[in-house]
Order: sequence, then structure tokens, then C-alpha cells
Amino acid sequence: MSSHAAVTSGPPEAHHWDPQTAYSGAKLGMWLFLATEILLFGVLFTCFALYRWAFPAEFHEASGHLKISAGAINTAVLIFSSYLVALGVGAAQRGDNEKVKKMTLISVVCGLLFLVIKSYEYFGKFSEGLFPATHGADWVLYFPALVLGVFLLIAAALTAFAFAAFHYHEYSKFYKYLGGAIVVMVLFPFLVSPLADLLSSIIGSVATLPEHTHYAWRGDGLTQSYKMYFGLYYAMTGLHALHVILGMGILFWVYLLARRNRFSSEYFTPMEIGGLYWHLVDLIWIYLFPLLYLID
Amino acid sequence: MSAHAATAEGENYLNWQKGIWSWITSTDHKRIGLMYLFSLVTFFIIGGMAALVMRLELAQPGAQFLDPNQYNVMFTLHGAIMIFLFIVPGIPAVLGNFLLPLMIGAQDVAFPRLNLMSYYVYLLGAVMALIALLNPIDTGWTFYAPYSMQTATGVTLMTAAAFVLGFSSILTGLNFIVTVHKLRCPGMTWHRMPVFVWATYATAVIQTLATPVVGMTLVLLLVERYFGIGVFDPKLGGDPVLFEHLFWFYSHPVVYIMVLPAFGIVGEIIPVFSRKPLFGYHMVCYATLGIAVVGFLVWAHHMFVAGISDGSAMYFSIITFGVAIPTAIKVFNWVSTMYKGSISLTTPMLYAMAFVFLFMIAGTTGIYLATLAVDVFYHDTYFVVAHFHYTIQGGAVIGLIAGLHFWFPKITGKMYNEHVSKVAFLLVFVGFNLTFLPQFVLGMEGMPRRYFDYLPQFAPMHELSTIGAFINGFGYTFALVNLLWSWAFGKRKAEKNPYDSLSLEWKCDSPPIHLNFETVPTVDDYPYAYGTPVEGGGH
Repeated sequence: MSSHAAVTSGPPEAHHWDPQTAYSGAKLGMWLFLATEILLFGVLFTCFALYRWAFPAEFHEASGHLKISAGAINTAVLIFSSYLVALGVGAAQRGDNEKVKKMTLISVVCGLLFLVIKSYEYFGKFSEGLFPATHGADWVLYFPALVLGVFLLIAAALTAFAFAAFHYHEYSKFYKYLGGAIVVMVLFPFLVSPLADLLSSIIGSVATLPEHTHYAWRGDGLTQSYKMYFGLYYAMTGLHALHVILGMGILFWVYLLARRNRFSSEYFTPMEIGGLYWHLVDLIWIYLFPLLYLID
Repeated sequence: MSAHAATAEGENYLNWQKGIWSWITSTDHKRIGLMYLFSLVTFFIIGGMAALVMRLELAQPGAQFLDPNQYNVMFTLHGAIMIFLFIVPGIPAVLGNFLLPLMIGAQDVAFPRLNLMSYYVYLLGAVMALIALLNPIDTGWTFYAPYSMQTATGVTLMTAAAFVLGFSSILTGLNFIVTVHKLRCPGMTWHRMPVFVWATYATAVIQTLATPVVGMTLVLLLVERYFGIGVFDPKLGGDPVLFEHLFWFYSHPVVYIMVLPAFGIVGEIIPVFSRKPLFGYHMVCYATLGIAVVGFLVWAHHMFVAGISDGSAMYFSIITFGVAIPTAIKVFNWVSTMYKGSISLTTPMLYAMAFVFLFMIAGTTGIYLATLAVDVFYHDTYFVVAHFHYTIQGGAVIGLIAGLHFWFPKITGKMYNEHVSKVAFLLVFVGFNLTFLPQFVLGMEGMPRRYFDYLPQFAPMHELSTIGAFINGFGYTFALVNLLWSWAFGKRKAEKNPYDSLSLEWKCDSPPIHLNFETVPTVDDYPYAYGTPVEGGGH
């Protein structure tokens, strides 16, 4: 920490701390963030515990619809990727950027595989009519695309703002990123509706939803608590899937850093905190799998 | 760090970079604090207007100029804006941001860019909330199920906005916790930290640990609203009381997010203007943490009449009484600090003393409400409204205003007009009590809260309350205009340390330079050792 020049270079965020404090600070920050994530999921676990206790028989029966094999494969995939990430952390600490690149990239592919298997399961449930909706309108089909779109918009705009903030001393770059943020926001409405159309046609063809009425639960004779099980199933696994996507993004960012040979035995913070996040994503699934799939 | 001494004469955080871009992209904690301040004041004015419209409608029985639906919209507007956009970010976002690094001798918070991002996340949430409120919402700010799932108003966008705002709150809290743990200057041990830092730290813990719960609960509400999974809907086998549990699990601790930092501010002001050491410094610090912990265990006292079991009602009642202990410790400490002190009645001190007085009323009436049998009667009457406003307006808002006056020289480098600010204080104090004391009486007489109309017997008290509200509003306007005027046109430059305070933020320039301190400061005592001559202490 010597002069104003040091402010604009060096590891990000670290300009006002020494490297050791920056490292331990980043780790503390990530552990706190993980605590908030556990509390976030804690609400869903609480609801699940309450209603499983209230309707044990229906929950047992409903969980029979899930494919244990698919869940088990997904568990293995995530544990394997966590192992790779752990290897990646070790590699980053030794400054082995080549290995970090390999480990993070394979982990991202594992995440993708997880999502593919999960989608296959989802569409299977949709075609059985185990698909929740009450308000009965076509737009329900747009909902996933809308959520995804809004999520992307916020992420893109914030990233651009963050970059702009980081480059406020370089006006040309600053305007580039700010312009990017504005373009994203303007284009957004035009991007979302084709995306939603595409997604709804995919869901429509796979799940063959009836066109005329509302898409309420179509499995006739299902009891309410049966539906509650599937509602919670979608909420918990859906939120988890969102975290898998986020974790993939973080690991990909680490990959890009490794490609620029950023890691050395002095600086490996991103790999380590990215790894922490990925382990949490894994850990939550390790609880979700027995809770949802292995009730019987 | 010594090379920062290159800072030019007269250069400070306000003028070291120029132009609007340098502000909206600044990662300087002091500039971010000011951006929060201007946003919050804007929302305070909007929320305050809604309150005045409400009070005007209630001045006389019967309909004046609103219909009942518009009235519902007004109080949701007032509640939602004041809670989500003003008082929850409140003191931590404004004064916490500005002062925390200064008080512990750091150059900035731990993650400056995350800090800027929190501000934009907050702004995004605020815009979403305002758009949602244009499409009127009639659920109140609590979004109780199952009504919030049936009403056709903009609940979706509003709950999404609350989620986004919560995210901003979490990031700020996380940032502050890491800052306090990692960036204290040499010699700044935990037991030498100013009480405001302790308070901000305790607040940050609550922000970080409580907010995710309400975030997820609101997401579940949305999922429920559109997919009917039935978790909160009794028609589908769910339990609406579960929503209340999850909601209050956050929304009770959030009261401490609002008021704990105000405790910290008062703890800073009183020793300075009494010229005495803060009485029982350690007790003040641990009482702060104690309130933060116990605050997590009392949420269901909002639900005594919602159909929870007798056993849990008794548990929550007893624990709620427990909160009174650390809170009372603080009151005793403040009063004992003033006892036999050499008190100077400056504006911040007046606000701080008003805070102690008002907060005692707030706390005592809280004990009434914690008592099960009494609460059955008082619940959903104006008694609760008055109690809540004594806590939040008499506590958090008065605390914020006290802090703004106290640190005004540090923030702006100018002194405000003391006479005008005392008149404003008088108006705020009288107006506030005139608004809410009658509401205690109304509540005891059985006037239900949230009602658009009332029986003629309640008219005199309502009329008084309305008059008080306008005096109160006028007082706030006066104080605000005075501060803005002094900043823009004030002639009196502030010294480094106009009050001879001992804490670290007064050791840097007024206003501070961009990186706060020319050299890394060191500390060898806690900042309340008044009563001995101050070495080199100004005048």
C-alpha cells in the first residue's frame, strides 16, 4: 500500500489491505455468505419437516414417483465435481494454473450434466401431470423463462455496473461497460419473449399440456398433501438448481482467471472461495437427496 | 501508507474527483453513505406525506377526501416505504457506511465494490417497490397469508422488491462484519471500539442472519401465489400461521436493525457533551450483543392472538420480558453518564436526551404488550401503533437525526445553525408526543388500528394526533432545510474536532480526505476517557 497508483492495480479489492488480511477477509465473507444460504434453504427444510410430519403417508407415496436412480447419479456427479474442485484448490495454492483450468472446467461440465439429468426428471413429472399451477393461464409456461431472464438481466446489469465502477478512473472503459449495461436493459424485453416462446414450445411438446383449460394439477384424484409434496419438491430442487447455475458461473470465472495465469502460491483466493461455494451447493444436494427421494 | 500524505491541501473526499460520474461509480464508503442519505431522505419525504394524508383523513370521523380503499393504499404506502426503503437500511447504510471505517481507523470497508453494488441493489429494489406501489397494494406491509395470495394488487412486484432490498441488506451486513473483524487499526482492540461500532456490528449480524429467512418466505409466498403448492393456504392443507412465524422470525429482529444503531449514536453523543466517561462501557457493549441475540428468540409475541398454543405464548411472553433487561442496562448507563456531568445542551445532546426519554416510554409500553392478558386487549388497537412509533420514530429516527447533527461537521466540513436547529428540535419533540401520546389513550379506549372510520367519542384524540403530526412534519422539514442550507451556504467552517471528542473519526480532517487518514492511526485507550485534560484538544 504505497501510493495512489497501487489503488488501480494489484489483486482486486486488495488495495487497502495487505494480502494476508485480504485473503482471510474474503474467506470470512464467503463463510458468512454460506451461512445466509443455509438460512435461505432452512426455511424450505422447515416447511418440509412440518408437512412431512403432518402428512407422512402421502409424502411416502408421492416420493415413489421420483426416480431414485436419477437422483443417485446426480449425487455421484456432484460429489465427483466437489472432489475435482478440492483438487483445484490445492493446485491453485501451488500456482498450477493448468490444473486449475482443467479441474474447474470439468466441474462446470459436471454441473451441466446435473442440470440435464434434473431437467429430464422435471419433464418426466410434467408429462405425468405433476405440474403445479392454479391461476390457469398460458403465461405460467413463461414463468421459468421470465425468472431466468430477470435473473440474467440483473446479473448482467450489475456486472456491467461493477466493471464500470472498477474502471472509473479510465473513462473509455467506464463508458464501454456503462453502455453495455444500458444495451442489456434496452434489449431485454426483446430477448425475453422469444426465449419464453421457445421454452413454452419445448415444455408443450414434451409434456403435452392440454391447450384449452388451466394447467392445474392434472393428476386426477391427487390429494392436497400429495400436491404439497411436489410443490416443495419443485421449490427445493428448483432453488438448488439456481445455485448450481450460480456456482457454475463462479467456477467459470475462476477458470478465466486461471487462463490468465493469475494464481500463484501468494494469490489463490478466488479458487478457494469459489470452491467453498461449490461445496455448499453439493452439500445441500446431499441433504435433499435422502429427504426427497429416499423417504421409503 | 505514508505516501498518501501526497494529498493536496484542501483536497477531501467531496472534491478529490469531480462530476456526477465520479459519484455514482465511487467505491468510497463516505460517498456511498451520502448517496444512501439522499435516497433515504427522498423516501422519508414520500412516506411522511402518506402519513400526513392519512392523519388528515382521520382528523374527523367519517370520510373526508379518501375512500376506504384509498386509505388502505395510503397506509400500505406509508408502512412499506418507511420500513423497507427508509428505516431498515437507515442508520447502518448512512452513518454506518460513513463512520465505521473512520471509527476503527481503516481506509474503507472490507469490500468497497460490494458496498457500491449493495447501493445499486437497494436502488433497484426501491424502484421495483415504487412501481409496485403505483399499482396499489392493500395488504399492509406484512403480506399476511392467505389474503396476500388472493388479492389482485401488485403484491408480486412488492414482495420481489422486498427480496431484492433484503439482498442489499445482507451484503451490507456481511461487509461490515468483515470490516470490523479484519480492518481495525493497530491498538484498536474489541474493548477499545466505540459503542457505535459495537452497535453497527451487532446490527450487521442480525442483517446477515435474519434477512435470508424472510427473503425465502416471500419467495415461497410468490411460488404459492402462482403455483398453489399450499404451504400457507389453509384451503390446500397449509398453515397461514406458519407464514406469520417465518415472517416475524425476521421482522422482529429487524426492529433491532432499526434501533440498535441509534443506541450506538446516543452512546457516542452523551459522553461527549457530559464530559464524562461512558458509564459501564463494557456493559453497554455486551448489552448490545445481548439484545441482538435475545431479539432472535421473541418473534411470536406478534402472534399472541393468531392462534398459537398457550405454552408457546407463555414462552414468548417471558423471553420478551427478558429483552427489557439489556435495554434497561443501556438506559441506566446513559443516565448515569449524564449524572453530575458537565452537560452542554447542544442540538445533538437534546436529541439524544429526547431519545432516552421517548425510548423509555416505548420500552415500558412494550412490557404492557408482552403481557399475555393485556395484549389480548391491546392487540390491533392504536396502543400498538403508538408503541411502535415511539420505538421507531422516537428511537431510530430521532437517533438518526441526532447523529446527522452530531457528525454534520465531519460530513460536510461546515457548522449548522444552532438556533434554528434547536427550534426544529422543539417542534419535532412536541409534535411527536402530541401525535402519539393521544394514540395510547385511543388504544386504551379500544380504537382499533388500520380503521378508516371511527366512533364520534374518539374524535378529540384523533384531532390532537393530526395536529401533532403536522407540527412533527414541520419540525422535520425545518431541521432538514437548516442542514441543507448550512451545507450549501453556511459560512462557519468546521474544525477537525469541534466537540473535543476522543474517538478516532474526529482525528481526521473535516471533511476527511479520500483515504481517511494521512497515516495509519494507532489507539491506546477506549474513546471515552473524558474528565482528564485533553492533550492538544482544540480550544
